[in-house]
Amino acid sequence: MSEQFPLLFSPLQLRNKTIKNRIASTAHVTIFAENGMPADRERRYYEEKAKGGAGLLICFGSSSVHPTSPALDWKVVEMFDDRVIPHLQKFSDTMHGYGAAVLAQITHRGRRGHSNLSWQRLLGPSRVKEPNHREVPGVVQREDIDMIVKAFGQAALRLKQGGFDGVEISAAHCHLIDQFWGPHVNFRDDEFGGDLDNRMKFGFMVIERVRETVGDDFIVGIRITGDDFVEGGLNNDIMCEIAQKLSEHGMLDYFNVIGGSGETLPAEAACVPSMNFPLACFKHLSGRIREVVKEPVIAVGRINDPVVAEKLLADGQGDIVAMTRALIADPYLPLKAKEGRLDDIRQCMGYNEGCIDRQYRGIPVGCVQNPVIGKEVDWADLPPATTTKKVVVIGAGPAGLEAARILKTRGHQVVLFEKSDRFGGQLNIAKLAAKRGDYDGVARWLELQVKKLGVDIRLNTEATVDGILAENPDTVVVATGAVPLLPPVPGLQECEFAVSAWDVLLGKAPAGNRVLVLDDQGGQESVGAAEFLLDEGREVEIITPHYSVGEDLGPTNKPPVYARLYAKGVRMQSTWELAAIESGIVRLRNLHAGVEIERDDVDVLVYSYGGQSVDGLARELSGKVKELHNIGDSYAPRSLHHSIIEAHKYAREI
Amino acid sequence: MNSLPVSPSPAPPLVLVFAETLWGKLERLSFELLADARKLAASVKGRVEVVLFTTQEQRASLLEELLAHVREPIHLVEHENFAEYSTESYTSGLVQLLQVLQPNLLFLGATTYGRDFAPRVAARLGYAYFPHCLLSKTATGGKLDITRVTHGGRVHIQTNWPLAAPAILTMKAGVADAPAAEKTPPNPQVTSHALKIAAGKVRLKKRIPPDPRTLDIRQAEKLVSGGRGVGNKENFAVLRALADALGASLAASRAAVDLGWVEYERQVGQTGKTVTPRLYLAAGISGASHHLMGMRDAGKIVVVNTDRQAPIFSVAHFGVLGDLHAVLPRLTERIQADKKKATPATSK
Amino acid sequence: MKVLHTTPFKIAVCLKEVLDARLPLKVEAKTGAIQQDAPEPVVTLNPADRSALEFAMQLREQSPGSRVEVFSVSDVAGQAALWYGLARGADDAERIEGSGKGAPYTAALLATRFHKETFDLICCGDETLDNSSALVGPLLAEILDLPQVTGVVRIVECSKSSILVERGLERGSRELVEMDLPGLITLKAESVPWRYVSYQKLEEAQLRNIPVRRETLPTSSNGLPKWPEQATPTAPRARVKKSFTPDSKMSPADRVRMIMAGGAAPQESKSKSSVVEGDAEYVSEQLYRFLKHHEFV
Repeated sequence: MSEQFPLLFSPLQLRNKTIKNRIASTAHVTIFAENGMPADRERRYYEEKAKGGAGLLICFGSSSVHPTSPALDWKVVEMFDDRVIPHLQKFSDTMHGYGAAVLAQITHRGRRGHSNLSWQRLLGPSRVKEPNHREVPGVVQREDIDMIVKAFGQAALRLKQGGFDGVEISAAHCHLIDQFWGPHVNFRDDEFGGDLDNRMKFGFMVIERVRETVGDDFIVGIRITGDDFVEGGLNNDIMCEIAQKLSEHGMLDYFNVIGGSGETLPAEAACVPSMNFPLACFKHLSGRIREVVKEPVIAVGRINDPVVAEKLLADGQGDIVAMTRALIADPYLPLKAKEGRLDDIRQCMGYNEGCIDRQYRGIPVGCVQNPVIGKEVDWADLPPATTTKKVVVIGAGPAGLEAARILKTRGHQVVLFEKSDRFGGQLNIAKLAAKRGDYDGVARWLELQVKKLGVDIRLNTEATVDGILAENPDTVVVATGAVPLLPPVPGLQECEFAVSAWDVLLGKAPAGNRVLVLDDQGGQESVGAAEFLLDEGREVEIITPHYSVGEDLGPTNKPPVYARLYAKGVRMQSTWELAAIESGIVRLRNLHAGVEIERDDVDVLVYSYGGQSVDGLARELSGKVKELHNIGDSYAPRSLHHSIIEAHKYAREI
Repeated sequence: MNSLPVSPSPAPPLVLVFAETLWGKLERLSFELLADARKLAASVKGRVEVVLFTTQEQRASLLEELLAHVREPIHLVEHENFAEYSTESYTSGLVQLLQVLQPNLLFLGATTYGRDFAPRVAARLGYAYFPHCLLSKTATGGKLDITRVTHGGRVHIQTNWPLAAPAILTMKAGVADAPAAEKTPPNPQVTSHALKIAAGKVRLKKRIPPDPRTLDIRQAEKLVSGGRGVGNKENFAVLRALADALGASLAASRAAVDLGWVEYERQVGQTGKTVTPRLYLAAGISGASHHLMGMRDAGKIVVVNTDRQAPIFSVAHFGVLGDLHAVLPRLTERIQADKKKATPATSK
Repeated sequence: MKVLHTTPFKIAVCLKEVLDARLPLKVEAKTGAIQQDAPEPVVTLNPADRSALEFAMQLREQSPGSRVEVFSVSDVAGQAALWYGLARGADDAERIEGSGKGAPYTAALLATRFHKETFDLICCGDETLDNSSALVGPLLAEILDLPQVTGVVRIVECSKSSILVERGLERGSRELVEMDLPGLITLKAESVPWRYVSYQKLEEAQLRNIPVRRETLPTSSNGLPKWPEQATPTAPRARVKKSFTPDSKMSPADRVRMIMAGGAAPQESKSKSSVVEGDAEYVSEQLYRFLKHHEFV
């Protein structure tokens, strides 16, 4: 059935290896390594992708070629140690068993990171600190260069000894090689600084040494940026020049082209574009690089669907598509696409809080939609129920839907009650915020699945205790969600011009031009409501008791949100909380100083304190049914990720 | 059979572009060929000229359309036998013209017509013939690098050919981005050639335009597309009526297809189809990114929506903030009224 | 299809066995060999040729006494196409020795054969799955000085002196044309529904001895297009389609903003001014004018 995707499922030769299709998972940090070694958790995570049909797996993001590369913060693979080889062998054997080509990324991060874990001195081409991590590096000396170049060669060799098909040298995200390239980072006056040819010398030494060490029968690729989005940095014009020189040099087998760089907060957010970006948003970058190089090019950036991928290939903007997050959301995407089961693909929606935004904070990768990610050792298989039960699930939000899906898949008889006329619960509100439209992807997929599985669905049906007992269930799962929390701040409950962030998105904000948004929740709620009102042409100020507005937004979500809010004229103040509202006057208190100020210029007050559990039914049912579980927000209001994992966990055990 | 008399050609290489017409209208593909020919000519210090076959009646309108894009000399052959396509008339016309112009290269569209008569022209003149080519990159060492697409697009055949030996290349749509219309009419030289044009043994009986109702939406020139905002399955009648009046095909967003209002074959965007019509009219579609990706390359995008914040407005060339149920029926009536007025006038 | 006379037809059908390019293919970088990603090559009768065969068989059924002969320019391995033709009911099959020298060569060999025997109608596939040159039909007609209709999708009517067919044009357009006979048509793949051929028939056909002819070509290549002798297959590399790229001279923040807006940022501001609102009468009139201005109505 690959007729729909002739290009996506055509093989491609990279040096001595035929890649069976054009779908790649590109290198990313998983935080799965144990003691610097890729152990079972990492292997099982990738095994699902190999099993699912991906042609090319580039594993182990930023694995270190040398202990001086600051890498303990991300728990990456330590490719500088020979004891990695048996792990690599076991790993590559597993992937080869499914016909996938397996590569790994190696790098030296140079000045990118902190030295306070390894206590090794940071190294950079010049004494210029990276804006993002703000630690001043030492200057790479000539002997350091020889040491690091040699280490690259040795690391690549270990991969070859461990049965890998190739290696990817990272010269992206402002790691050491592209630090040398960057005219804004490299101020050396020796042979490694100055004009572009000099600045490229270190990189060429690395590439040459790697090729020399691994020989001709090993794939050597490179990851570069197509535009780093840094002032005075490696813009698209310079990168085209660099790529052309690399191609003419003739030792590389592919170019893997990202957008952005790790150097600044906005550039770092662009590296793994969230749902704030359009689909395939960096195809122009890979396309322009592809025009100047003769080698195959991997296109990267929100390619979340085979239709998008096929179009990108047809338009010549890449030869291989990186579908890294798409394969996290659904490792079986390639097989499903090949069989024409497009609606069965759980599509990555670019939410990012479950994967990359966790990684940037040093916690292991998961997926808000796919609870199995990172837990493959325990959850990759879903055993059927030993005894079939009748289960009533209440609430067709994400928790209820995931529970119903898993219960039905395991063979239980499932009835799903939903009081409204639609699936998705709070997602139906959340998706109304700007650039959050893709958010309903999770509900759409779950809805299609529960319908297909034949769950007995009762929309427009409010579940009552009697109604539930009439079903004579063995088990009841309550997933009745939450409503906006209204805390006992004096005057807030009675305030006529106060409205919840949820209601703002539903278009229920009272009239009035001057808006004050209270961001206590720390996530998308308040900023979404603020932007909604800015788009209506109102004046909006956001205050928060935290250190920043949207404190909990992940590193790939916060910069785009900030960019839009500021462009639309928002004002923001941190460390202030709502103290009271008295006769139209809003009193704010500084969390640290304790001082209060009075504001009489507020027409509309938007509050965002997160949710409050709707758990009345759960409490009423207690003791009346054989087995009762209260899951998701109706247990305690938390994130989508919590809801899906919790639903999955309980549904797996019933 | 490859021993070629390499004739000394002191003049700069000449690249001819055949401007194809289908039923009296210029094919857009011809402009893509022109862009490609310009690139190639620039790399070999050559010149580009354009060929147009037409009748007396169509001459003026075709030339006007051509002149909006072409600054190069145009060779025009006017003959009553060009009122319709025939293998023999086109072959005889082009053979004679090429004998006069002596080009190095001729570019034609790999269309039904192009692939029908170009091989016969090449055979009669002993030219080289390269079917289904991609952008002919550059000439190295006096040789043209040619890439042919074979095996249903799964293989490219690389070959080269001496520029001095004349060759015909046919190319599929998408070889180049068509050049934008010239800002000021360039007023190039137009040369008419009086030639004897043979009549064919194949006669046109009837032209059968595509039925927009059954046409694959990827082929449609105009699409009227609806989303969740249409409200229900029955309301799609409003869009169908407009589509019929416009001669457009019906399309839909994923939401509308998920809801079972429109069949899957008409779904635009992710998990559906990517479309590039000349006109895309989106009604009641909010424009999720998975939809935008499937239609943003359309020529003109018209949006009718009640929500000013809908992301689809960001790609609109013309937007209407209003209720599709009120706006579209009026638009349909307006178009129908216009048609009624026009019919008696032209039937005379 | 209507058949308007009872005199028998003599129909020739040209067939070719091809590598099934609908399956994933790879091109061996060193040798240029085109291979499927499978242990054994999967070959098939070229789908467009199958349409040609199918049409010929239908014409014979409706016009008693007619004959269908199938021809293939190939080596021994390629005779499977002829077996299939016989299994489908062709009266005779003939293999013309030769292969791999390109479409003009194939056309010239076939023409030499058809110079010796006149057929009322020659049917070919409009293009092959492998070389996709769409060249053999028109060249054959040119050498034999026959009229032709290529890209046929439907046969409407056939008489002894003419045939009425529909040909497919661009973007779903078609036209109905009439061609004098003798003549040549090429059919598009899947334009005629295929009929099932049983294994038994195929096995019977494989027992038949297929005569082989060795034609000698005239030494002069006059009347043929030139065709390159050297050609290297490579993996496809699609042309880069231009897509919006922000100018590197713009600030990083502006570049990111434009990418986030899908390259629509300048257009976005413009579109704000071209959004009309008001009563339905007014906006529909404005919309009508926009469509009229751009010649959509």
